[in-house]
Amino acid sequence: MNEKDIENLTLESYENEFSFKENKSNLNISFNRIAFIFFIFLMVCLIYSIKVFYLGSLNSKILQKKTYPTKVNFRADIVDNKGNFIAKTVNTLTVGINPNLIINQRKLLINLQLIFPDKDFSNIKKKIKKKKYFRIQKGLNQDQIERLRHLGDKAIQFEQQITRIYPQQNLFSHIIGQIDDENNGISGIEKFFDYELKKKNEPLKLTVDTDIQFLIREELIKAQEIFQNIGSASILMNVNNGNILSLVSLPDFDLNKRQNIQDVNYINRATKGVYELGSVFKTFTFAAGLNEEEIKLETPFIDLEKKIYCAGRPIGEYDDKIPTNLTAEEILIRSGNIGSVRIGQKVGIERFKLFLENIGVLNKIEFDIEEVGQPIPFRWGKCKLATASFGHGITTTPLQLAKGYSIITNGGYEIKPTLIEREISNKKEKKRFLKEGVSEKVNSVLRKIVSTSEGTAEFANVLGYEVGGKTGTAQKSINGVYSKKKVNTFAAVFPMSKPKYVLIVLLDEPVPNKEYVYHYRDGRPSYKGNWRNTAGWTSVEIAGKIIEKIGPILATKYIELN
Amino acid sequence: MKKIILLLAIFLLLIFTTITKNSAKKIEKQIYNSKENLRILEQKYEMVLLDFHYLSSPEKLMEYQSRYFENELKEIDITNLKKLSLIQNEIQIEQFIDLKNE
Repeated sequence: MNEKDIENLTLESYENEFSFKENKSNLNISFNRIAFIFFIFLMVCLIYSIKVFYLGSLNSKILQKKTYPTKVNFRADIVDNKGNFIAKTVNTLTVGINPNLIINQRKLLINLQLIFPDKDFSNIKKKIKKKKYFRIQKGLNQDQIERLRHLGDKAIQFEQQITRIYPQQNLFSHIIGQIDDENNGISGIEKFFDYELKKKNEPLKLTVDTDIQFLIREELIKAQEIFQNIGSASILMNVNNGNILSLVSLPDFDLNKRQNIQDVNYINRATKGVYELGSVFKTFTFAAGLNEEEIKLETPFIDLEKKIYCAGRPIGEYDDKIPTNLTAEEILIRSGNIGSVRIGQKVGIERFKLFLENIGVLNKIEFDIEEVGQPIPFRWGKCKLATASFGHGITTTPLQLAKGYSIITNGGYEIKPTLIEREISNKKEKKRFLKEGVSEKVNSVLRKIVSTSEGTAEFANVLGYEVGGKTGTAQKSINGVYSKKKVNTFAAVFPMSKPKYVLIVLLDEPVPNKEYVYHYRDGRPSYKGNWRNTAGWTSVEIAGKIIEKIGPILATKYIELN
Repeated sequence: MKKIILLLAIFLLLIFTTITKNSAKKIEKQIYNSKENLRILEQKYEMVLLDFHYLSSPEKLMEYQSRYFENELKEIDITNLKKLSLIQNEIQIEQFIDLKNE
């Protein structure tokens, strides 16, 4: 083949075989995919950015919470409102044995037996055989430390530990709670403020007053001897700021002994105990009636029945001597059940329910310890309204009762019960649940319940303190069935001309004492042989004794100087 | 002459620096010792305070009262208490508790 032929051949083959075509459709699919993925990424980034901005703009509680440097073997002290120690941390030494370093086991055990004669050494021998480090004794005293050091045995090892000392022993057991061996709070304030106690330098200051707490506890112990009640509770609270000056629940326990208590009788009755409290609720019904302008103090209730029926169940008066014609004020003074039902019916379900929610007796309360009871929920209906109006079929805790009475008597301003002394900020305006003048009207009636012979609480009429309040006697419900056992409560407020304190006294299952001598406060001769198991003859008597004791302290120590 | 002055100045500065450093070291040591002493004293104070709070707790006070002052300490009726106030250099006596609301 010559050169010309080759050229022709090449050209022919080029023209026939090479053909380039752009695959437009494929390129389009790829671009859309990339754009779609990019869009997804953009959206994810956008969502996260919005979330980051949102979180950044929030006044987060986590950010607000102060962070403190980590400390080893540290737990801040707890003091009362005057700086007296309630819980104190003391550094102690614990001695342990490392069996791998023992040279002469027999000699070591003899020496240890001389230092700790009460120890069970058969158990220690068993532990040595396991060849693992173990502790022998916590909280060594100076003499024991010196004697152990003089032994000079490498197997004996010391550990720095902290021990919590409670100089007031039983006095604040239900408030303070306990810690475990690893410095973790397991109940009460010790648990709720565990983080702060481990990190903060300053002691945790409570609102409670040791002297008042002691006096109230003493009176409750005496009450237990008189009325043989299985337990009792008391709360003393400032009605204007919710500061709790005393919170006692009996029976209590010695915090220094670190008992593992399983008995339910040892629950904190003041905050965890959920009870039907009876007639103390009538004050709420009465206040709701005044607030909703359904009644006035002098509104007449004519021809009140002695007994009414709701869903086939009778509702009667506790005292047949209660007249059939009463004013609204008299209904509360004489603690009339039927009259309270009528007031409740005037208020109506929705408004009564909202009122109880506002004053904080219906739902679980937020508090400074975890041991808080949950009022038993129920479905509202006509019968429920009737029974709730006089405090039956409705439950709450004594703490919430104290809150409710505080709001009713302080002018209707919201308060939050607290055990921790906090700086009061005046910036926030308090919510007000009662209309102008309602509180004053309720207070005047509460005072009459104590100061007049028609009232049910004359044993609490301590001269000089203008005590007011309302009694509540309720049958105890055991496994959903009403028993003959009672829960007797008295909610006292004083001084009534300018309320400052609310005192709740609850006796669980008291029994009348016929040998106990009652001294009337109006000069009448003493009385012995009481058979009535009502709050007026039990809780009120104890509340009167308590106010007599703590009154001078409250009047002088907490005096407001102008 | 200039060189001598410069050398002298450097020499003096060296001496001053040495003296200052030594003094600072001494003061630091004193501060450390004081802090340690303070820490020990604080610990002792806390323990004494704990003792005091225990011994003056209401329970203990009641115990002492019944043991040593049974007849000497008595309750005072708050209605018998009076308030003294100084108004225009004159002492005025008022009831501590206002009994008009009773």
